[in-house]
Amino acid sequence: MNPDMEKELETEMSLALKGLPNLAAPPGLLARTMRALEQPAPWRLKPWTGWALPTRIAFVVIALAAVGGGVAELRVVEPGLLAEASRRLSPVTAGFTSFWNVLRALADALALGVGHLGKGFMLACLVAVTGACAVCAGFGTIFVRLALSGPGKNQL
Amino acid sequence: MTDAQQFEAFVRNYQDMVFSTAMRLTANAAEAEDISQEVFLRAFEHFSELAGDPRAGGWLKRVAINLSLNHLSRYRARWSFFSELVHRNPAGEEAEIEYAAPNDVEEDYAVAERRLLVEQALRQLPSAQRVPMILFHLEGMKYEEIAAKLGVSLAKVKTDIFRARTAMRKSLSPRLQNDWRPAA
Repeated sequence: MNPDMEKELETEMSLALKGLPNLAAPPGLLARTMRALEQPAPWRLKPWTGWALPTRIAFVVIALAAVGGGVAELRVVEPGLLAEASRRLSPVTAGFTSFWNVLRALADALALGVGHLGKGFMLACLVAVTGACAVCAGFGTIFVRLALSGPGKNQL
Repeated sequence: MTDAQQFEAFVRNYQDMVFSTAMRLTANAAEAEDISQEVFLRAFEHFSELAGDPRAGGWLKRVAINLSLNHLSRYRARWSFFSELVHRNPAGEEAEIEYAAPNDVEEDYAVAERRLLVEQALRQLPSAQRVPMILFHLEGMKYEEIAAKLGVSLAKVKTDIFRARTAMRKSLSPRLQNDWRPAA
């Protein structure tokens, strides 16, 4: 379409759309808006200062009791308790140590391999892996966008 | 007058404008009503500043546009792909169009009918075309502003608006007289 016809089309649509008056709002809109305003928000969604006084007092009492109870509990902990806990956890920590040793051995083997195969070969491998990741990410993005937009539409 | 009464008058004053903006962008009466309510709930939070401010209408319109666009991009995109595989009839759910009371009670019947047809043609456009067209023609936004608002390229905005105009012309021309066409 040439620019003149495009301009004519634009003017035509402007004329058609400019004169449109407001649509009538549904009769219930005002009532439901006012109702929504009058409905009190649940107490837990209000700021603390907006809570009822008894609720605030109860909250302070419970919070103080929890903190006080925690402090008192710490005082009655037996000195040998921590040592006992550490002894009981030792199988788990030993597992982590073994895992770390395996990782270190693999890293050493990799370093040895790099030294043996040459930097050029390793660089080519790195480029190939990066390229493959980029292709996967690119296709993934395209598929997700296609799925979200639907056929023949943009993101709206 | 109490605060509640003042706000009620405020809502009554602007509800048609807010609803129209949301309705034309979403093309769905129930969604437009939800959006309108949300606009007024937000307005209530700033009512001390908005009350008596001549720019309140502009503020409401801006919020209505933003919420409508958010709604379209956030909720519709999730199911449009699957729903369109099954059902692709854009004129499927036609809600009755009702205009706010006209200022001139002797409004020409032909004009009213023409407006009705324009509204119906607008609703039949896919949202990707309808939204930029409304933002351009009814909200007076520039192509660049629309592109920034919708997060799409300038070329896409121009193409979508052109397609929307062409589709509107195709849809309207058999049913309307050429009374709103510019002189050749």
